[in-house]
Amino acid sequence: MAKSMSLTWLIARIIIYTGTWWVLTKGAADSWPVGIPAVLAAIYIDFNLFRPKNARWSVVGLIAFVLFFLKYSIYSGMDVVRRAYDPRLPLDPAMVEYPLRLTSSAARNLFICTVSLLPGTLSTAIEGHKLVIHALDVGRPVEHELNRIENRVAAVFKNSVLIKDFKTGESKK
Amino acid sequence: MNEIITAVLLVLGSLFSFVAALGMLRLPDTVIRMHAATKAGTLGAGLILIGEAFFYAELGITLRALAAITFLLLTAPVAAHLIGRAAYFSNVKLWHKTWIDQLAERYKTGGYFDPDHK
Repeated sequence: MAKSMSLTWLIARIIIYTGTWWVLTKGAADSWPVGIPAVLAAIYIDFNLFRPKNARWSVVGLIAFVLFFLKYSIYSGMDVVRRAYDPRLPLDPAMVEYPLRLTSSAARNLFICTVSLLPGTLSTAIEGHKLVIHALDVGRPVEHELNRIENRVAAVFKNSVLIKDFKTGESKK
Repeated sequence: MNEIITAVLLVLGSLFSFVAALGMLRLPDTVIRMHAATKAGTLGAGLILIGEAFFYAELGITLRALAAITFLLLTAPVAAHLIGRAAYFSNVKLWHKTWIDQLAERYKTGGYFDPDHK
């Protein structure tokens, strides 16, 4: 592994993965012969898939994001309830392309997953710098809502991850 | 008091899970069904897990419930994305009332967006 691996990154991963294993196995001592190789494999995969990029998290931003997410995921569930129960099936679906303003991959992953769990939008494909979104109801200001989610996601990271003054149709390269 | 909270959470959770299943039956196409499965399904399972954590009020069980919720939140949207993408590239038909399909123009796959489809 020629790539550089910082010590804090490694220690953080060891704590996260051993902690997860410990929680899942209720701390059973005889599970470690399987647990230690699993933790090592997880660190290896993590390192190769998501090279350490010093994505710095902002604690305040993260808490704000979690609260925002919880509130809207309940709203999102209610929205599905309404549409599935209504005999008239109130849907006005569309496939729309949304140019991503987020630059870092960690922020993009978070955004794409969030989009799928928030009301009325589901990410279906990624085309370079464009995200293809299936919207349940185009009558709603989908683009405005996506902009807001993107700003929330950007606030989670300390380093600037949002392209300012982004013009639609002009992809960043 | 704890039992009331647990009961409310469990009932709400089962309601959302039921709606996810109902959506699977009622909603008209693959991508729209994925909306129900990801949003209502995750919320339903999450509420049931929180209810469980409330009922036992033990650190170990609470942590396991939180881990399960985290894994659900991480995997559900990824799975929905992959299924939606696979449906697109294998030309699964969209509901006939679906609006624009900017992707189809690019790939000229045709068939995916079919205005005559009933």
